[in-house]
Amino acid sequence: MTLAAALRILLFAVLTAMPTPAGPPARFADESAARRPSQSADLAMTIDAPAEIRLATVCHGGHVVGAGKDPNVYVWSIPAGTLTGTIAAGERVSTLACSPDGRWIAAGTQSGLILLIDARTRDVAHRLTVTQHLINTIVFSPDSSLLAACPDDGPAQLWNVETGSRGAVLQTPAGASLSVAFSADADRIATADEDTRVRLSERGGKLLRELDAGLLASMDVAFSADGSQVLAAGVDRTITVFDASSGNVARRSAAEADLIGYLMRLPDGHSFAVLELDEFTLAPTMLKAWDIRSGQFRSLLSASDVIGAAIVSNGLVVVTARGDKRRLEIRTVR
Amino acid sequence: MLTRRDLLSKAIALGVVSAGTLLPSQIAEAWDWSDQHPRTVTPPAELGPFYKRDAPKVTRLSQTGDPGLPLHVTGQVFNARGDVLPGAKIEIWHADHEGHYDLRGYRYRSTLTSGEDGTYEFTSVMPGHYPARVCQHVHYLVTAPGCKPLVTQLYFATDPAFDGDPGRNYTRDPLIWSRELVRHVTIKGDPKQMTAVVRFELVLDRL
Repeated sequence: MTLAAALRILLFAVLTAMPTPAGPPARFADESAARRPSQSADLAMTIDAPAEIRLATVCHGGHVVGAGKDPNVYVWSIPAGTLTGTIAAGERVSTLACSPDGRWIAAGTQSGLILLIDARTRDVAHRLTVTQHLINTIVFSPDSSLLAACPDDGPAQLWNVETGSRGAVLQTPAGASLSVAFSADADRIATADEDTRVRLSERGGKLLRELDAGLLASMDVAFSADGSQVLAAGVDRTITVFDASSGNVARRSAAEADLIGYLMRLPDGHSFAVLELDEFTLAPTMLKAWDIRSGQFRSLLSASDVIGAAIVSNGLVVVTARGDKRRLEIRTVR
Repeated sequence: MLTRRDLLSKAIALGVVSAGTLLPSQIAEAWDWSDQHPRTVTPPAELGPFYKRDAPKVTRLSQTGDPGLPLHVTGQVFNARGDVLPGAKIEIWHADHEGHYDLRGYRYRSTLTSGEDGTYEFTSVMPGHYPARVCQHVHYLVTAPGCKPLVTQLYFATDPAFDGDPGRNYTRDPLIWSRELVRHVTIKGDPKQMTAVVRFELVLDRL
């Protein structure tokens, strides 16, 4: 089996990588991992990992990348599931991403570094010092030339992938950006900011427009396929569709039962994969598809075991980890 | 050059100012407490995903009968030059006793305004442990003209997660970026009506 053309990777386990508090309740209900995905997900391959894996993704170029509690990034081949690389990150990894052209793996750490790893040689080409705090999210531009990083303590930053130099720092008056998305031409960037605003900026950093999705924060943003609309979803449990040029709300979904943590545009162009999160634990609950034309949600699978997802040329792929988090399953979602 | 402390001490020595039952040094200390001097900007912390705009202007965040240890927080807002900041907007929010944030309404959320002397206060209950965080905390978003917005969090030295030693153990929560944000807690009242009292000064960086 060949997996190709990863358009966008979203990782869910930043919080799961944190230590369990001494005394307070456990952070995640791991016992729920016994639930089985629905019949809409087909098992494509399995991986036996050498360590506990808490976040993972599937990359163009035929590999799976994962990280866990130890300070390493692991790379496995597809479809054999053979471990082909172990990269020392030096500290715990908080987020992972792969470039759409397959050349790069990016690993963000809990102390604000991003390692840009050559996907072919596994060498660390650049160590980017983004901040001193945790990296929440990394997203590559569709042309793989830019990397957007969302640190925990400030606005999103754009970095030149080839040179490893910092470009624009986007604007947020207070707080950080929870997520970021590029338009297909990479000229515009949307951010979901903690101050509840969605902001649309040029790649040079100029703020184009502030979008008001409501009183609560959006947790993820996405562009429509033609870039004319921006979608935001989050704590208010709805998806809001904005006209990108006017900033007006074009559509708003019905409210879901859970928070909406992540949006991924599916290859059909009009559907978005939606990962819902438990309000109390922020653990994934359900993976659904939302049709921007009909406004309807469709359940895909129970997501309690999901530690990563990717859009590949032939559809949506999820990575799940059960039990001791050392056995990974890669599933294609119909 | 004479400082205000020197001037006050001399005034007391000359009998210009009556110290009453207080020693001159105590008066000088009291004067200095409110005197202007540069202050270290309050360390930041993350805003988090559960901020909600337009919280009501209430100083009592809890309702009668709410479970949890009553909490009384006081403080004063300054800029880094040491000027008190009247009229600062102080938005606060925290989880309830069991660690739940109110996302549908405004329980345990408030928008305060600092007084003429920069002071603020609120009463609530001690936040519970939110599952996605190690430590109990209260979020702050503070804005004032001429200053950079301050996003920070208040933590409690009594938090069981610190095992009685916040100086050593505050890093158990990777989102606590500074020991300074872990504040001393004084328990007041009789055993049946205890209240946790905390003071938390807020110092904003100037633009």
